[in-house]
Amino acid sequence: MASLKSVKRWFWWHKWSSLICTIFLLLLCLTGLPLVFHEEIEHFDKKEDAHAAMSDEKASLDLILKNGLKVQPQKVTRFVFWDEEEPEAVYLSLSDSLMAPPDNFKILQMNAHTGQLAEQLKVDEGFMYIMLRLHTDLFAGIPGKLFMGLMGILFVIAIISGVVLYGPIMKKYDFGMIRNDRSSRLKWLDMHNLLGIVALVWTFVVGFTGVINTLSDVILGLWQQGQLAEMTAPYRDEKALNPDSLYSLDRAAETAIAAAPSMKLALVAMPGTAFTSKHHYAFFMRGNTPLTSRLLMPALIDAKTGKLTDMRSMPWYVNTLFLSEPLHFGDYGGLPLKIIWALLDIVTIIILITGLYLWISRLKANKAQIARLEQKQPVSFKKVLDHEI
Amino acid sequence: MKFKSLFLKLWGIPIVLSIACTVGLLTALVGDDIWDVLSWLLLGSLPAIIVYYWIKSSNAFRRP
Repeated sequence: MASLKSVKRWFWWHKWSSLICTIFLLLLCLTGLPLVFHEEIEHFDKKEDAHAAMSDEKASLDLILKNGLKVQPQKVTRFVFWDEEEPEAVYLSLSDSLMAPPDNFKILQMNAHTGQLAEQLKVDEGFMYIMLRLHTDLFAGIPGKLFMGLMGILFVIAIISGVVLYGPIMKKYDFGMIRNDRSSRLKWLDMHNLLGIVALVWTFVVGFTGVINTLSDVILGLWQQGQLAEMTAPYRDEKALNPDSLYSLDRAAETAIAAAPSMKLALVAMPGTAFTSKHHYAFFMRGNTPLTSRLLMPALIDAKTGKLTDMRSMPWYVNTLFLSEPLHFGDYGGLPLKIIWALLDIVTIIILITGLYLWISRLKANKAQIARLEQKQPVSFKKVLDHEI
Repeated sequence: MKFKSLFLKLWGIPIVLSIACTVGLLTALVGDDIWDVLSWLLLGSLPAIIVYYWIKSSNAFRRP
């Protein structure tokens, strides 16, 4: 049996953790709503080229690289990547230099069959871009991301303390009770409790995986200093390779696929970029099951000789990050799952608003009570506030 | 015995829903097709339950 004192303590945690994070959580829920459907929205914008798949013939990756640089001759290619949802496309990420800041890039979508430019993607403008930045970092880069992570931690604390309070509050009542016939405060309190307890695991999982996603830069930094540094250690003192005389990317890709025949290419980091050494292509391969397609396996291919020098599974903390993405985005079970994600997102918005309403109405009730008491007899504030629960 | 039934009265449905939600979140992650459908049913039950109790309470209120 929870003592009154411990209930008060949990209530204090619930009140303050949620009060601080509510405004940011509302922003996250509102911006998250269109982001859940970003694939559908982006496809709606684009005119579908239904007859794009003319043949199974794939264009050479070396040709695609060359064609990309023809479009943007002043730039260098840092990454080549594939999207499972877009099998007709190969993407190139081009930057001013190999070591330019991470946000310095342009994305070219290349036709996987002809090797020609399909589209220069506009990744840093438009409605969805604004939603994404407001959702991830408030346009404030890594500090903004980590701040949002802190708000996420407060949200998780609010969820846990809320569950603890559910017990003493609902002890005498049936599940799902909504007292519609009494004060609107009671009605919204009941609604807050019902929605909170029904959506509990979902809000917890999406909140917690959101916090992990805010740590992505930290996690990738740890991986660069840890596993990647280990894998590239024998080449640490080698000189950078001439970008014009690299080993064929197509043949390097064949070697990587031969080493992991059940896997598919997800991304290639070109030599000299942040996710490889100056001497290697890093092929990041994904598995072919729903679960393993979310995980990546790096295979390092010597960009001079074309030999596979190392291939490893990524450490647990990187895999945790990779698995946190689908559980946060809800993009792993088709459109119905996204619709459920959106519905539960709306449920969360109602929980936040009813919580805020309950706090405001409690504040008003307290003020009114203090005013009443002060008229009758002088009474200390502390005594009144002790009755807060 | 009494304690047990009180506990289940309070926490029974929340525990069942939490298990359903956890299983629903995982099935779509580990499998496709039938596993996706299972996930939709389990996770979709959550909004459905909210709507059910919402309608139930507003009907009870309207009744004379």
